[in-house]
Amino acid sequence: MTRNRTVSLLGLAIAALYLYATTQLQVRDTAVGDPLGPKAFPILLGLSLAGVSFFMLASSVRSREDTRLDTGSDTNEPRASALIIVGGMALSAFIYVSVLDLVGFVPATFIFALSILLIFNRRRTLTNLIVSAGFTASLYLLFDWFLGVALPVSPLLAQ
Amino acid sequence: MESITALIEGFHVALEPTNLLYLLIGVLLGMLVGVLPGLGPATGIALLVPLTFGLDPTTALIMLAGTYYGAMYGGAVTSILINAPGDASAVMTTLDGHQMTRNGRAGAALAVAALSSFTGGTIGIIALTLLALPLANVATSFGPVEIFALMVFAMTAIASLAGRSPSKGAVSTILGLIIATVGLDLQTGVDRYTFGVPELQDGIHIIVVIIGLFAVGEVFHGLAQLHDGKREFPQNTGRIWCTRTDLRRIIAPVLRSGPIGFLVGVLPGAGGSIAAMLGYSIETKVTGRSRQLGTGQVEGVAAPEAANNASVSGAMIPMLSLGIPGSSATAVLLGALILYGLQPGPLLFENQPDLVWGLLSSMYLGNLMLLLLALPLVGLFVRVLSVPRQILLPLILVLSLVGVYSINASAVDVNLTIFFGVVGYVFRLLTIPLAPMILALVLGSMMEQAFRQAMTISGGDPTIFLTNPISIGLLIVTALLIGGSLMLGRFTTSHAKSREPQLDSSAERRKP
Repeated sequence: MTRNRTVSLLGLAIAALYLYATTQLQVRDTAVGDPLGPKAFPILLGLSLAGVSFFMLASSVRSREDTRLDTGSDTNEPRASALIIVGGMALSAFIYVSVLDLVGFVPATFIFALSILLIFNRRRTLTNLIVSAGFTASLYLLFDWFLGVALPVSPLLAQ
Repeated sequence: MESITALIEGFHVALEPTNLLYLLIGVLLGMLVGVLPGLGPATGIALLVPLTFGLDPTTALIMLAGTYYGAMYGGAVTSILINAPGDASAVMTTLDGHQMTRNGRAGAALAVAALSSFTGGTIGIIALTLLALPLANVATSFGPVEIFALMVFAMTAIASLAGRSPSKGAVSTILGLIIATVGLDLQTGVDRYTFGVPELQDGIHIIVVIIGLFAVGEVFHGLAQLHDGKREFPQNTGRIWCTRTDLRRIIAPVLRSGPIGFLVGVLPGAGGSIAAMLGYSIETKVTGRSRQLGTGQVEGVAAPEAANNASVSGAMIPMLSLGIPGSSATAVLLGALILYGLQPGPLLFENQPDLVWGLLSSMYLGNLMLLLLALPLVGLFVRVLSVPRQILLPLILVLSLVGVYSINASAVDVNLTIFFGVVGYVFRLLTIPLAPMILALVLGSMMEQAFRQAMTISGGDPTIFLTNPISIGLLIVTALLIGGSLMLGRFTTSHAKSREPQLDSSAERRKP
């Protein structure tokens, strides 16, 4: 499937979902002076997106140029493993966020940084440990001490 | 002229040792903050406001103005080096700036950015000195109709000019506008697309999307490429300075974009991002190499950087004279002014001339300081690139997430950042340009408000956009832009086909 076609299909899907969500909005009738209400602009956007996507789909079907243009010199046709990697990273990031309050900033960040480094910078375990520790400490100093941002401390440690 | 006398007296204020010192601190802190992903001028200024409480208001404002410039340059640095703009006004710089890094010319890009920022900023301040009062009057006459038309024009420009495919640019723009509709509708109080998540009522924070789309998306993309065993792109091998040819090439773009940026900055609500957009789009039209902008041309760095620095001065006009922020960073400055007990407005020029003109002249000094600091520090910034990517990228990821967290201590924000990181990765795979989405997001709610206000004025009659002279002028130019880029698109297709048949065969070989 070529890129343009993927984009246009995604665009149509998003437009459909968005327009549907717009129809589900709860609007009160008390809009004073605003003749259009909160749904007007979203509907305009949804229709525009659908229109552009349709245009892209139509022109990609019509011209075979589409396929050739898409595969430029930096074609990055990803192997499935790359997509899994990205998914895995996103997942671990989500986990990091959810344990942040529980475990505290310093431990969570250290472990998170270390785990990603271990996956991508294999064999250099000592470097990874030093970098993770140093970086976590620097971030802590920068944000907590220098910028005064309150970073989470584990309830377990705060006794 | 009275303004010039006042400016000279302002220099006396600005050159006081205390003020100079705090200006320096402000610029340095600003650069530091601007280099961190997601912390742009507005956030940087906001974070420093608490530090200014013990200071004299003039000194405090001088320091914050220094932060403004420093952070804008810091944003350009990350745009150029790691394709992660510090805030919306640095987005345009990624287009050619990062490409120059990929071509091994990061040092030149940074030098060009510093020089253009300085010159653009100087142009802006000179213009500010001369035009402060008269321009304030024009700015107030821009009503919702004109503002909406201006935004339609700006967004069409960016959609059609960023990247090879105007349609994908349009998709990116509209998606940005869609994201901007998430949150509590200001006029009717209706919850839109929040799905019961209370943090979403304020809408999706622009920083969250910028960091997610640019920084985290870049990390995902880079690490996926590493895993695939693809070649890392070259470390910077260029000189840490730009050539004389570069210097000659950037003169015209800077002289064009500076005044444009200034004028855009004056318009309430239009700040560095639109200024950079317009500067860049006009550059693509005017420069003979317009076909190549986006591939790493110095003009593509010089124009947006000059424009966005000039817009800082422009944005000061409505802020100082009307109390209307010209950009999000000036909105923060405005908040600081009120905190210090000052009342922005036309009377400010009369009641506090020392403050106003001291501030304005310190902007000139801050600009100069930035140039003097930036060029020696360029080498330091470039060295960041020599860190191996498999270490650098994970660190950027951690930094980004922590940076977002530091804004509101909100887990929802960080989760959204991760989500947009995935979106950014997908966009890169599909070669959908990122810049239009961000810029549309910044302007989205303003655009909608302007639209609805215009409709309220006209009682629901859309022809108001056609009867207003400024509006119809802008819309005609927009239509021309659309027509032009569609035709250009067709031209590019056949041109590319005849020029690059080898690409097809090499791509064929690479397919599994």
